[in-house]
Amino acid sequence: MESEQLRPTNARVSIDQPSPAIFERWEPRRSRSSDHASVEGRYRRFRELCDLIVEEVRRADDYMDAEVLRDEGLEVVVEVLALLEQLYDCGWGEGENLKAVVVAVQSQVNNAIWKQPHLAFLQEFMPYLRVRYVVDETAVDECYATIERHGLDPFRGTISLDGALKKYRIEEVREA
Amino acid sequence: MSNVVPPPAPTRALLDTTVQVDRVKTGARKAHLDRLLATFDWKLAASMSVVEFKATIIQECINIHNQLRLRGRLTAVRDALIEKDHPQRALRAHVFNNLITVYAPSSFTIDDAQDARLAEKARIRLERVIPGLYEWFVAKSVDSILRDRLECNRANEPPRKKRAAFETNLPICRRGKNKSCRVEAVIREAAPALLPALRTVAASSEQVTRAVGVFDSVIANAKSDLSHGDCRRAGDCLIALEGQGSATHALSSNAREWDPLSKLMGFSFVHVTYPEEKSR
Repeated sequence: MESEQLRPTNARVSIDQPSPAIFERWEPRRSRSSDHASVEGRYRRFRELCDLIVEEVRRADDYMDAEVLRDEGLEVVVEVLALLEQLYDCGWGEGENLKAVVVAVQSQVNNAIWKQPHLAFLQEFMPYLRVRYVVDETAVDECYATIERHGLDPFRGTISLDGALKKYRIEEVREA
Repeated sequence: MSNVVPPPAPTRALLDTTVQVDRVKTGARKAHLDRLLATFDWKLAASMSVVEFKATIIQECINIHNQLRLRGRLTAVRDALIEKDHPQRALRAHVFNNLITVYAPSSFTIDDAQDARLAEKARIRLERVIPGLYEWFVAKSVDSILRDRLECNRANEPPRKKRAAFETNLPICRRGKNKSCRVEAVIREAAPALLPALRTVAASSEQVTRAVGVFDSVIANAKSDLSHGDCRRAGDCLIALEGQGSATHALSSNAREWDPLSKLMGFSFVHVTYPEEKSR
């Protein structure tokens, strides 16, 4: 019954000998070992990127001046932002959950003056993310909970925009 | 004979929708409001404010999300939603500008790939922010939502995402189908005593004029079946009715409507202003 439902409408009627065209539409079968290698590779990349971010974020303490990151700390900021972009693309996690985690982190640290709460947020959340194998909705929930625990704005970059370094807007050019 | 001084009565502030919107939308205003609200023992909001919040902030986020899902391009969606005379054009532009400020690099030439990437990031972010906004309003922003009087169905429904899009945030209310609220009964109960005073205020307030129209229509028509759009036309009056008997103070940035309404309902009116913004 199940195979009946999956069968394309333009396929042959017989389910014993499906036409080769049906197979062409299916993804070519990959061996179990190549699937495993690709999963392992993506996980290794995810872990490697998280390790690098954690390492950078730890170093940021050296550049904290009272409450704000000194100009010398810009190297950490630039590095972390670049690593987050790579993490967004690394393909790990269930569905779009890793992407949801990365955009949540970026919502707080992109185009922002890094202060103690930003650093504390990264220092708490990134080690948590690094040791996870399953990146699912609970990781996204934890990210938002950590944002709120550190007094950051969970709606930054959508409804609100606190502490932006520069503000941008698109303006329509009207012909005179 | 002991000389016991009774403790001061707790102050209970009813927050108008404008105050709630300012708390979530603008950082500088939020800080000012947090200081102000700290002077009250209890903070309350009405279920009709939830409906107004859903109809504006949440609905616009849903519109943007669903369009991003459909088109997959940020600039195309932005153009489609901004370049027309829509009453929420400014709010939509506000959200797009914030998204661009956070997710777009500081200087960039937007090519197809970048545009699609921005759209994906914005969509994924909004998927969490939309339920988060509702959750913030009903569970975190105040001590209690006053919902027992109207029992508004629309206020109790959180935004729900289906597989790809968010479902209709505010469906048309139809009694017996998706509506079991008491709004018409509350109006019939309270309006006769309020209407003479409301009519005296109506001349100076467009919103009170609309509320008087809604109240009159319900009293005149026994089969009246208000939808959320009608309720929003009488929004401030219904919020005040929900707060009557529970709140001691009413806070709003809109003095023209709320000052006379507060006098009618027995609230002390606190006009919310932002002096820091004027001095800039």
